[in-house]
Amino acid sequence: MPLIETFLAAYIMLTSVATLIISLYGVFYKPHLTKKIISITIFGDAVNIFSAIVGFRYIYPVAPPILLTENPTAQDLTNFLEVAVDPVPQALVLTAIVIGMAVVSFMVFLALNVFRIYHTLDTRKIAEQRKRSEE
Amino acid sequence: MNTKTVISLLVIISSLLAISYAIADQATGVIPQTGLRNLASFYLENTLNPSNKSYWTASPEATSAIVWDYRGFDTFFETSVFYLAIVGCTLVFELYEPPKSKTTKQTELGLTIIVKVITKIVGILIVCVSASIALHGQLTPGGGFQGGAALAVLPILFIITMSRFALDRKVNDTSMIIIRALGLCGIGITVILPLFLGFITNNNAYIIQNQMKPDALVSLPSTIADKMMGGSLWMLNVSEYIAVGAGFTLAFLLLSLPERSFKKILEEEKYATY
Repeated sequence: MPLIETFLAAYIMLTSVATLIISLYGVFYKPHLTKKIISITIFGDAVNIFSAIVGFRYIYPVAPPILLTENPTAQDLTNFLEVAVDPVPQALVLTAIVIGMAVVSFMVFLALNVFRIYHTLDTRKIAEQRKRSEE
Repeated sequence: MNTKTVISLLVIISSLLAISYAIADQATGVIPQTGLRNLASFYLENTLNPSNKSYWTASPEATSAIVWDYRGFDTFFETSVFYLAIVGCTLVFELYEPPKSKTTKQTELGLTIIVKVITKIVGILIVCVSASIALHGQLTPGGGFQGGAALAVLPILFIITMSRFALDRKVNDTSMIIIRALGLCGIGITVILPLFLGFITNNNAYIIQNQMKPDALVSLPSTIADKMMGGSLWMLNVSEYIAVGAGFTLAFLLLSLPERSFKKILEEEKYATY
């Protein structure tokens, strides 16, 4: 692989790992529940992008894993195998997106209920209120 | 720095090191690869192979074939997770009094008549596009979940333009729960359909089987009126489309409930708990 492409591949990998770490930082250190939820979605998206890169093929021409003929011959299938990208990570990403969406919607519902009870989503203020009500 | 901060920092640094080591040691293979992994070439070669139908799925879309056929159980459990998440959402929002509108006139609710008419036209288009995404899932990129997610735009638009009270007269929580249950029943029936076919024809059959396998000679029709339907794929896509569309509609209906229907009940709850 030429030098520039090696650099670009490394750059994409570094970016996705950096996004993962930044989203982890958001989950741990941001006190606001909305920001925590946003960080979790960014974490999921970073993992999904990483999986899509794992399935990519560095060739030209490159095609999506869809056969364009209804009755493919053996030659068609050989040509298809030469250009198609890996479909497995794509299927896994699809599953991950659905589960991520379900989990995020559940978290949003919980956060909304927390807001209705405490009138804030800041975890520091919630802890304060809880402490006060315990006293 | 307290203990929590130190532990969080340690977790972040150790995950950074672990991910970097895994990538540098090529745990994910060479990235970007130029060849194909063995599993990928098996799926691509067999997904639509008329000359060797031992492991075919009758669908030219390899990703859909993996999602609902080769790795059908993954998707089955994924649908279960989605189902449970929506059940959780409805349980969290169980405590509310049905909201009542101050006015009964439709014209006083929502935005102007121009916006409402345009929303209705766009609504028809959304239904058509999402149904086409779901029904072509076995041929082109798309499928039940994508179609359902596209359909879920419709209730948001209607809630904004017509107001929730206008929507409530036609679409309520109970009807959405019933429609979603119908979609899930469709998935359940499609999953056990091969067993019935195997029982009738006295053959071996597996759960979520689509086309015949060397030791189970049961297959669902791969073409209907000369159109490629991918056996069970279209049935599963349509059922998932209905289930996901109704599930998201239910979630948006609950999210758009006015605050006043919760306040009283939750205030009482709060003083009862603390």
